[in-house]
Amino acid sequence: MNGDQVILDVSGVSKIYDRKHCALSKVSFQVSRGEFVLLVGPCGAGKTTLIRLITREELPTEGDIRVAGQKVNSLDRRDIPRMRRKLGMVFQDGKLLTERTIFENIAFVLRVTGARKKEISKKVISALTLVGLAHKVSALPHQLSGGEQQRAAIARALVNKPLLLLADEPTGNLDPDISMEILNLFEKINRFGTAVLLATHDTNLVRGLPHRRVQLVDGRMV
Amino acid sequence: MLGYAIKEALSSIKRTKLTSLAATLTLTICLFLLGLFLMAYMNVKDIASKVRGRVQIEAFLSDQVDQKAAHALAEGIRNISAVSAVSYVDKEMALEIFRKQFGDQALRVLETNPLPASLKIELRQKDRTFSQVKKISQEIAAMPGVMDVEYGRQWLSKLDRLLSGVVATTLFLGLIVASSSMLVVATTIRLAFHARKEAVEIMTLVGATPESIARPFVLEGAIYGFLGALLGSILLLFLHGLLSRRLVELLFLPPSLLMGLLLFGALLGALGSAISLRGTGR
Repeated sequence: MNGDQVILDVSGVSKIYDRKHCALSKVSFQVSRGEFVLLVGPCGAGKTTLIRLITREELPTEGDIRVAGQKVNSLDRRDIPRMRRKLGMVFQDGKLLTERTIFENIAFVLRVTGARKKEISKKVISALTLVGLAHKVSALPHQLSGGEQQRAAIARALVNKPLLLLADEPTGNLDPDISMEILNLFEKINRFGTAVLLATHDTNLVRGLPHRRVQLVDGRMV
Repeated sequence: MLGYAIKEALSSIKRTKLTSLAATLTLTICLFLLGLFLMAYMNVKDIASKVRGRVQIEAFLSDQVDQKAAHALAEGIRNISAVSAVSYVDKEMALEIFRKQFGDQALRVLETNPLPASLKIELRQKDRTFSQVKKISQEIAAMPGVMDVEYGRQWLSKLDRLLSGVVATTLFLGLIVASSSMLVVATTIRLAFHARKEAVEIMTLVGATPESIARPFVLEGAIYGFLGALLGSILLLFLHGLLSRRLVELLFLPPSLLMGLLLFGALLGALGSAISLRGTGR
């Protein structure tokens, strides 16, 4: 695999809590530019831990993680924000800010990264159009259905044009039909060229999908 | 970026109206007290400088010292660097002054003039402190021909003590005000921070720098401090007007000091906020 094409490189990563509880053990895999990878495993298998290590919310006990060639675990604190801008995050519960409109929820991501006002409107509308929510731009999150909220969260993750979209159980709170819709949305985004790493415990949902799988059980790759 | 920070700070203040009000009012009291002591210091200093204008040393000469020797003595005293002027009062002039003050009666029984000739010594403004006046008086008292030296020993030392007392209290109060104001702001910002914990968490994950996350909070603290100082100054102005009308004409803080108080308030707020955010930006 060409080095330039690798967006995420997880190499021999272990995470041990309190010197005894092993959450991850020697996990290694890569995600290439434009690839769709499924991270599957039951609850407690270490999927969320792995994602937290990739975003440098935590440090691995051993091994290395590289995002676009940059070694995440040895990054200087000041360089963490810049690295995170290369990633888009989607969580199980959406994590939208309840008192802000959908537009504001997405725009603030651009504002905190120093984008210009003109740019912001254009990018927010284009991200909302991609997820099919352009008509809900001034709604508050509680006025949206669960599926729509998750779409808004995906728009927020996309608005910065990340190299890699990290989704941690993005359909965990949704019923099967809506889950399928969300999954299709990730597929669509991936077709536009963004790499996706989607973590899920729901093997039924991803059954039959042609994407490569990284299977975790009790913190080990199987 | 700054526009965004201002908007965020204002919306946070709006969201936590009651806590914001409590913080602003506590800061108002703190900065009002500081302003009050600054005003007290200014007024005591003003009175002190007026009183000091009248400070002088009087050296009484023995009768053996004739006019020529007195002038030579005056010349010697003039050479002391702290001395700005020396004037000679001979026995006759002393008698005249005494008569003017107490009338003829008191001296009528005496045949000779009992009042000694003297030298009135004025000091430079900056040397009119108790310790300096005392030192120079002792120096003059040791000169041949000087019988006794008189200066406002009692009240001069009292005045100096009062002034240094007010300075010490103002400084002490300044420290207390500064630390308690910062504590109030730190607590308020902690609450605001926790109220927006989720937003902060998301900001962190989307790659906002710790500085850009902290900026609205620091600004919010500065707004509390500034508003506290502004309200405190208005309260002080009101009290000053009341005292000046009812009791005694007082000096108010000059515009530069007033501006300083406002800036000090804003700085305290910003610092308090920054302290409370230490280590939370990640």
